[in-house]
Amino acid sequence: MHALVRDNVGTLLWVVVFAPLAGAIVNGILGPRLKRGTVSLVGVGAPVVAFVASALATWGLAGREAVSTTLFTWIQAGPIRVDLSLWLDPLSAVMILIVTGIGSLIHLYSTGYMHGDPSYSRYFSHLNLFLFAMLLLVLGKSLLLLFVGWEGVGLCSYLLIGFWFDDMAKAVAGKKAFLVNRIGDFGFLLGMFVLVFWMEGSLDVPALRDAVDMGGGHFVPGGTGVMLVTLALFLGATGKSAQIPLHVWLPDAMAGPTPVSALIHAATMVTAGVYMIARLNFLFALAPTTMAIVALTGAATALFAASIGLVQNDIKKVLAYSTVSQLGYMVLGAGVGAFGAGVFHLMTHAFFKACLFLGAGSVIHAMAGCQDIRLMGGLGKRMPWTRATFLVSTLAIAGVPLLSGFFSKDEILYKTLALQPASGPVAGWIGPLCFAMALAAALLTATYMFRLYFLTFSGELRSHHAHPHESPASMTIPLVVLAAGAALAGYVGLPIEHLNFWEHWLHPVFEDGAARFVSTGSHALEYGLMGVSTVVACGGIALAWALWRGPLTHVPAKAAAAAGGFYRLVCDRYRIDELYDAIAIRPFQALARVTHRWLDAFGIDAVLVNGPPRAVGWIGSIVRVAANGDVQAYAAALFVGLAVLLWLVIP
Amino acid sequence: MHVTLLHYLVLAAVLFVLGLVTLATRRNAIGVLLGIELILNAANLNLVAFSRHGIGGVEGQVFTVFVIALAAAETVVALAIVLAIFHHYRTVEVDRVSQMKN
Amino acid sequence: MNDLLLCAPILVAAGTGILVMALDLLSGRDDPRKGFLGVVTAAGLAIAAVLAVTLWPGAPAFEMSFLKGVLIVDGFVAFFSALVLATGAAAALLAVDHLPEQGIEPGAFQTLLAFSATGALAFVAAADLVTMFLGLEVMSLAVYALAASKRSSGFATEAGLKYFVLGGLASAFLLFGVAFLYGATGSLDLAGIAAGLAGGASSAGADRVLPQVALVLLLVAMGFKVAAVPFHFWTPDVYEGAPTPVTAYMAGAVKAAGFAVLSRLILTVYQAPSWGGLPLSPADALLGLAVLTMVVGNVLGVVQDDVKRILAYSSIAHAGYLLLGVWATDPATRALNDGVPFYLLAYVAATVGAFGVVSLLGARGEEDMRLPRLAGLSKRHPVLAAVLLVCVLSLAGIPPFGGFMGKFNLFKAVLAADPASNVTWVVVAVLNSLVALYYYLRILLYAYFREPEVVSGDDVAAAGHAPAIRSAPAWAAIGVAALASLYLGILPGRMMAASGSAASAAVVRPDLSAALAAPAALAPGKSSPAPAPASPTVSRRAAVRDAGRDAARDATRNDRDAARNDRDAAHSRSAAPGTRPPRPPRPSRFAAPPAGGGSGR
Repeated sequence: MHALVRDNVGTLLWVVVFAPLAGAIVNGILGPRLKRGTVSLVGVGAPVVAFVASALATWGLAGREAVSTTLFTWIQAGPIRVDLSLWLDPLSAVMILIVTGIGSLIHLYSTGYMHGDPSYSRYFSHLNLFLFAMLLLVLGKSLLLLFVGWEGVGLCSYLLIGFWFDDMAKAVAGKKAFLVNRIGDFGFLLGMFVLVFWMEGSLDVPALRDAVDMGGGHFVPGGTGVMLVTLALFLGATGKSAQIPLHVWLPDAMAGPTPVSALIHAATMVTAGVYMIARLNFLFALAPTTMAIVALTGAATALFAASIGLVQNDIKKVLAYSTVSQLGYMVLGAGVGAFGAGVFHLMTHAFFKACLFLGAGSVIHAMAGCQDIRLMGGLGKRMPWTRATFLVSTLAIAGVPLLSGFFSKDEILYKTLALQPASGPVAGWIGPLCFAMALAAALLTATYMFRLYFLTFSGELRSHHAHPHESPASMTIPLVVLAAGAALAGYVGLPIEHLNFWEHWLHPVFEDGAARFVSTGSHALEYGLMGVSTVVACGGIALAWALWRGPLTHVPAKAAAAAGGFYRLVCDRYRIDELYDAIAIRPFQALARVTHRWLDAFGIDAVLVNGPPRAVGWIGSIVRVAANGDVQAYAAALFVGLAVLLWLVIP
Repeated sequence: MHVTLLHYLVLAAVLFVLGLVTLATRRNAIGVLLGIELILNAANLNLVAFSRHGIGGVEGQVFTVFVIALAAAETVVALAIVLAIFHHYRTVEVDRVSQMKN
Repeated sequence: MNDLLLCAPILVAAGTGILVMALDLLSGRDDPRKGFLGVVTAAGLAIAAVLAVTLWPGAPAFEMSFLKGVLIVDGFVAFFSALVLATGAAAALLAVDHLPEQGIEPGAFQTLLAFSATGALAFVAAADLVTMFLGLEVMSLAVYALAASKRSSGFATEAGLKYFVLGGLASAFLLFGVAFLYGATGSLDLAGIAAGLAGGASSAGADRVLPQVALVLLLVAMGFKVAAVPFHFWTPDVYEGAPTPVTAYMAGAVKAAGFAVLSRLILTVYQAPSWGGLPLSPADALLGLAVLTMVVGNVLGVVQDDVKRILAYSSIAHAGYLLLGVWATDPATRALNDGVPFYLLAYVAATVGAFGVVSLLGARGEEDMRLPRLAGLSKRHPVLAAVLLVCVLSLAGIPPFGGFMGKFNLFKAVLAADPASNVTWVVVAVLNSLVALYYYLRILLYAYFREPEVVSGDDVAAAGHAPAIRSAPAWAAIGVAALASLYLGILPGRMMAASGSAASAAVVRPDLSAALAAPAALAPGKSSPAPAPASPTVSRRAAVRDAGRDAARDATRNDRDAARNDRDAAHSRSAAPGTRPPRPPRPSRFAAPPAGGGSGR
């Protein structure tokens, strides 16, 4: 059996990628004419098939470094050659398991959540298409193919954020996500162009890795070229993974249906940036400056977003800022050279954040669309399953010991202090600074998450219009599975040498990147930090209990009043959107108006576009007289042509 | 007078031009058809003349037989079309048959 | 291989015609199931196409011994025959439900279609001028009748008359040209004429004039068949008046066959670009025709209001690009420009698809296809609109459709033939494509962005409210056409390779037939990297390919320049057949390297 699977991993990979595409095509074309049950079957069946194939492929991969399979040559232009090739290594194996596994659960959940929606089949078609693009992103052997998937998930994200495009605000949110991501994509493309030149045509990741291994050429450790290329690539990651300063699209993206937020904007797509850095770890590790910038960006994002999360009142917005903050952790992990830890956190986060979003969806479903936590309260009694699973995931994200988030977050914190670049001009204070910010963010995380939990599930219901009820089984089953994952997923990466299955599995991928960092840590430091983390998490929870549930409930309002302007600044998300509006959007619009009037309307439309056709049409209207319909005139034209040719040809 | 190849060629050229003129000036569709036949026969004359004067083998003359057979077939199709034209327009004057133009 | 087996494609095509005729007689006069005649025709022609591509490229010798000097079968013939037959099959499918709708008798129609395809096969595969002329006439006579087959319509009969009169004239010109060639060389088979021209063996005394006049006459005749300006005047009228499946057949099959024979004549008989020792002015004439054709076709396309007329002018313009490709023969390979077969393939797929959509819209005896008929098509018939979109964009040369790859490769090959001097003509062609964009987008504008006008009574159909004909066979045909347009644009590799082998087999040269006798002398060193050679001729040429590529290329270029300089002393250059040194071509674009192309699956 294993031998059979082992020999057919290539075929399985195509199944993984094309099953969702097939689902998207079937539902996209036939959807409106199919019965709802059939749409659900196809929509959920496709990711399940992909998941089974992923599991088998991963099983077949075990023990090998990578498996590659080529369908055909896609582009061949001079020295540039791009094959449509898939590439399964331990990292992409982990990713496809997360994408298809959590994807399947969320598809199942969607059958309940989207039950009454008139565009049911369009929803599943887009969601399946997203999975296809995401799997292409993850499995693409060439950076270009990765980029195709990258753009594909961006497109699907745009389509799904604006899924209810009748609502102008939601359509605008989709557009915003799309545009902000373009800025990042520009960086990604720029980096790829340079790499194409350096690599003389090939963008295959394994070839790139070999070239870096060989050294020489442009791949000099600490070289300026490498630094600029990796910075450009990181700009792409910044956009996709919603890091400062391109984080502004993700909170707005919550306009989409909640399962979409869970799948795309929490568990999978937004982690693509982290995945890209991990995928190219050998390249990023060559540029210590870039790595320092990556680490600082991640830490700052983690802290900054957590502080906003503390004052939001929309349940999905809280989770959105929480996602930005957690993505900051992952980027921080990658930035300090702990690629494995970054991806580890990516995996545990996928479980607990998906669970949290789906739980929020369940709450919104129960509250008939209301998302304001100030109107909620006391839902725990009415929705026991939702509450229990939400609590487990909240504990996990807060970093309470023995749950998944504890292990993964702690790993990142520890490595932030312990790892140093083996060479390169990077100041020693960066590690401790990042650590301090990340630790503060951890405290805030525990606080805002339990604030959310207490306001939603404890106490008494504050809205008088809502009649909450538990959601159907199609929604609670995924919740339970995800909560179990949130509780247990951390045990694959226990911080004990020979039990750390995770590091062992990913070792071949991160070998080169990790080799450029030295560890100055010790077990004492590691276990000491665990203690600190535990204290911080419990402190945060206690603080939240005291402020929003316990004896000090009057304090938040007073504190807000005392902080005054600063409080309003945080509430307004540091007014970054307004800043962008003033420095970028308005000037651009003004420029666009001017260009439109003078360049487009006059220069291009009137002179260049309509001019030639008018001229041609004018000539044509004269020439057309020749074709007067008389066959003998046509014959005469033949003679004339013959005569002219004879005159020309006979010397 | 001895008849040389050139005589044949000149006669064929005259036939060719006559055919062209017929084709271009005759209003009657049958006349136009005759113009085409004239040109075909001019070509036939050339083929036979070249063959007869030892330039090629017998295949020139064989070709001519094929062409004559084809011309007959062509005439059949042409007459069928002319009949359909007459059925529709009640005339066989080609310059009246020009509904389609730019 | 058995000669009769090699004849199988032609026999199958002819047999299909006979079978359909018999089936028509056996079924009742008003049998409502006569649609199956079209399916039988399509199946027969499709089988013939498959036979052609299987049997012919690998034929053991380029002339069949049984019918020696009558037919040539090689990769070139196989490519164009398959194209012609596929177009015929598509036209038969389009006609299945179109004919009853228009009141045309299906039996005769489908029979004529099959016979016309048979004639086209003989036309393309002809090894001598008798077969060529017979093939041309069999093909054309059937098309004259097909064009006029809707006897109840004045437009159709008018189309038939115009096509017949001008087509008959063109055939007569061809025959006159053939007679002169015969007179100049004393031979009727292509290789013999080529040898005669190259050797200056002209006992008629008329020396160089006779082949020159013959060439002009042949150019006019073939220019008529491919709708080159100024021999194009019939095209819009006939395309508009003829039943639309016939139009698709004319625009696809007849044009493809015309280009095949034009290439054969120019390359094999006149040995372009050396022109068998003639002065270079025939090349200039061909270039003039090409430029004139694309300019006039596009300019007049802009002022049309009828979809069929627009597509007719589009087909004229495409003939211009193709003529440019035929003109730009690389002096090193002396084979057909390898962009031409692929371009024709992409053009035919898109044109057949576009005319197919039009044929489905021409319901209830309506053949008026002015642009407003298309209004609101995307809402009424989204799939038809999508097929139209794909095909029209492909015709316009927009990626990722076949037309784009076709233009790209064609222009690239034209440039490669002579980078310095051809760049002007490529620029002209590209500018023309831009003009063409205007009328192509106009079609799509109506199909996608115009709402049908609200009108009353009789004008309902004209304003675009009439439903399209429901026809599974026709949908299959246009579906295949649209998918082919996509396939050629996205994965062009395989067909590019086929196009390359076809192009390199286009020349049957006397010096090569001499080389055939002693292949060892010509094949030094390495073996050929060419995949699946289209014919022995190709593989032999590929074997030569490695020998001194660049040196040979420069040498030939100098050679050509020298030829320009002493045009009047052209005699001195003409060498006897067989003594001409082999001209190893430059590294080939079409012979995909082992790892390259799109076939690396």
